[in-house]
Amino acid sequence: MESNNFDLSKMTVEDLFRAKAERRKRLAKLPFEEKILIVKKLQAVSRALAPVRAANKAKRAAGKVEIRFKTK
Amino acid sequence: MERVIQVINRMQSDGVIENYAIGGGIAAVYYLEPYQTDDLDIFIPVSAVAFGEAGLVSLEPIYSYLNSRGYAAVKEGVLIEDWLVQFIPAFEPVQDDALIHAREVTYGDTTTKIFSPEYLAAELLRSGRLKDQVRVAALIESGNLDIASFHDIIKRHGLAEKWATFAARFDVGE
Repeated sequence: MESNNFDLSKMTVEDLFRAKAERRKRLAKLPFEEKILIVKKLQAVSRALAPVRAANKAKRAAGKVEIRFKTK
Repeated sequence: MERVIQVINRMQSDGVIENYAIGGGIAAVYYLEPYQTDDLDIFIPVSAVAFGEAGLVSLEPIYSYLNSRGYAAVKEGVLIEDWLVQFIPAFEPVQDDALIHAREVTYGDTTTKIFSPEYLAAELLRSGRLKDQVRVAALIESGNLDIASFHDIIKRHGLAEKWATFAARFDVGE
């Protein structure tokens, strides 16, 4: 899927999966060293999110999570 | 990562381990797209392991060597530079075979060894967790795998039943 003919309104689920598969293939071709840099960045994101995830998990466990639906 | 590999190479040249190979998530990243994985799995021959009186396995020779160089044991591994490194004795025959047939690759200017995609997929299939199975599927889909060689490994290591279950679940032709 070319970025210059990207049109969200015409996008199908098949397009989305195809784009994701192409992205995976592109990333798989990166040099090992570049891939490891990405892994390190993903680890950093995961570490930064860890306290938020833990707090959310504790809220869910205590039944303190409310899901609110906005109607008009 | 390069510094970590250098430390492990040094450990090998110092005779603490006679051989090693990278397996697990980082080996999968070598062949696939990068994804989050927390530790570096280093498979080592069983000869590097000490056995206690009750037959309990101990990685003491490795841990004490690394500790003397300032690398502390953390959780189930050793923190080397900024990587949690797990040393996994190759008790399973497929792991031992994977060590023998590991590929030599370079990271920066440093040489290391990594499981071949066929042995990596076989070991992940043996391990059998859902995330391992997803990686097996990804390795097959990537086209990096020599399917004939992979099936040969599966047969030799008694993984045919696990393969049949996997093939049915992931709709892969047997």
